[in-house]
Amino acid sequence: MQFLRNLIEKQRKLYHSPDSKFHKVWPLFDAFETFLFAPGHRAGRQGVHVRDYVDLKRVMNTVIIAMLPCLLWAIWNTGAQHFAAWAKVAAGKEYIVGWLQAMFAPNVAAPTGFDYVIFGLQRMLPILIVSYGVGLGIEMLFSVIRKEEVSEGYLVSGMLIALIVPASIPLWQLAIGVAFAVVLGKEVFGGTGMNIFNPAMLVRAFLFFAFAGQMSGDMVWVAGNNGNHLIDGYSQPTALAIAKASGGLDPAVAASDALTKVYTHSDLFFGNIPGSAGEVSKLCVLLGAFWLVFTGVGSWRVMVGGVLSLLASAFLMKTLSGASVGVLSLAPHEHLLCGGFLFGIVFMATDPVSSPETSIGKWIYGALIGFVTILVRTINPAYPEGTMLAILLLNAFAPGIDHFVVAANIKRRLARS
Amino acid sequence: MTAAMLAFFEGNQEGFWSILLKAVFVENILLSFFLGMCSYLAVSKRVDSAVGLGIAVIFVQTLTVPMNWTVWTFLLKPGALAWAGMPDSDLSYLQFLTFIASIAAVVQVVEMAVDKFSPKLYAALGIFLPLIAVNCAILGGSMFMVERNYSLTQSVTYGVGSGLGWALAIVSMATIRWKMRTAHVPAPLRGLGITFITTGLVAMAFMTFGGM
Repeated sequence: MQFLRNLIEKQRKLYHSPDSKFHKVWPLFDAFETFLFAPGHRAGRQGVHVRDYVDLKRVMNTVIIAMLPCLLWAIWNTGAQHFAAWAKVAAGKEYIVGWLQAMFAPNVAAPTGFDYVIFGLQRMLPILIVSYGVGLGIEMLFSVIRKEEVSEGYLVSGMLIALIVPASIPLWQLAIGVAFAVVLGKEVFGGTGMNIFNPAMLVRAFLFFAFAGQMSGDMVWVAGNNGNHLIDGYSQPTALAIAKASGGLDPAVAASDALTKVYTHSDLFFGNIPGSAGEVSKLCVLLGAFWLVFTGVGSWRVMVGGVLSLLASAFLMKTLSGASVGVLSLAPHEHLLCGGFLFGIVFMATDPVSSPETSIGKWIYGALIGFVTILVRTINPAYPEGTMLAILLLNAFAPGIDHFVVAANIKRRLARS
Repeated sequence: MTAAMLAFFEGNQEGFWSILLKAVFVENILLSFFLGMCSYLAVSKRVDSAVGLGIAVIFVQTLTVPMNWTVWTFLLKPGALAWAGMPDSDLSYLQFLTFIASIAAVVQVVEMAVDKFSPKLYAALGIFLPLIAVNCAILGGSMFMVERNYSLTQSVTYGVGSGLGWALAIVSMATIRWKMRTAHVPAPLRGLGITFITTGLVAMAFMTFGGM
């Protein structure tokens, strides 16, 4: 953050005084500065009254900036996947325009990027509105009852929720999930900063178990224009589902071969694939990861530990099992490219509240998430993806990891003296 | 091989890893069957007693499940006394009585051992160690062993797994409660209320290997 602070201080003279070069856009500069740094807080060089520029609101803003690439890609890709799927099933079907498309008359026969964005907005805006509306509404209610300030923690959770559900999710289900997670996962524990489990992950897990039909399978990943599904029975499996199914084919094939037949590696990396709205593009996640690490808001220990452990566990499972077909044969780097692991480890696992606080604990936590993810992906026949439940499981053990790291540290220092 | 010897190896043919992961996570004896809830709620207030009781449960469970398997297979189940020339015997109505008696015996031995080797842990566990004898998780483990028709090796695996699952759950809950000691939990929910809610959420997290 210090680097950004210095940069802004250097730029200030270009905007501040009435005769400076860019004074006309001073309000913009000011808005950007106060978006990132709390106004009027000066970190003193001396004395005990040190106030930081970066408070909770600014930390949350930083995370939201990190998620913007994913959000923009989610809007684009929701439209792109929709029209690509439509082209496959279009023969003789009537296209039903949605509420936003009705204003812009989509070119269904040869959709352009503009049509993608309009369709993406048509799906993503209601999801964002429901997620923020329900969540913030409950937060405000509890703040009034508790006579506390409304805190900004939910700004991040609300956007995360929109990015980790399939774009075809029925809004009433989303509302129930959000209400469950915010009340029982967060407010009963005392609100922002007190929760044990990541609220956004709880929303997804709740929906996953309560409404499995709308959260898993091959039907839900491409948003439709007619109800939840494009047309009845349109199926487009995710990359991991293809890898998972490769062992059950007759004859069984290597997961990599089955995968690359449908999606190329660059499709997987740039996110030209169906999936939960925001996690598809690994490039956008990486951009967010760089921003989080660069600003020091996200823990690089969790991210590096998780990714290394995922690669190592995938390599071990592949080598030890000696499998040449099925999901066990999927190469480690392909595990990284498929599914939501990268998104989960960058945005969900680094949540400072539900992850361990000690540095060693963060390494252990990240590494165990990677390991459990691979375990679920390779040996659990029921779930193609394990990131969500791996993070939830490790949320439950995060206080334990901290406890034992601290206990070991105390023991080590006692032995030294 | 005689039929009795075969029983050592056969059972229901379920694999080692499947039984272990199921017993620890999916069919966690505490979070999925709510067995052993009373000591779980009472002892999870402190981390070190939770660790102690967790280890004690793993130990007792690992001993009693195979022991009760032996009792069941060679004495109680229909036709078990064929080796003594009584092929029509059926003592399965004695199941509860015998299982509890053998569990109580094992717990007694464990209690004496803990008292001898770690008086501090013995003091910390207090009344809960003897109470393991009537802990439903322990009896439940033996009952599941019978119901699922495990072999001896499977019942050892199941004993270790279900004990481990119980221990993981109580240690996780104890550390969560430690972390929550400063949380602004609404007054009516403080104590047992929030513990039950947390238990539900932890149970959801333990579904990671569901479907195996």
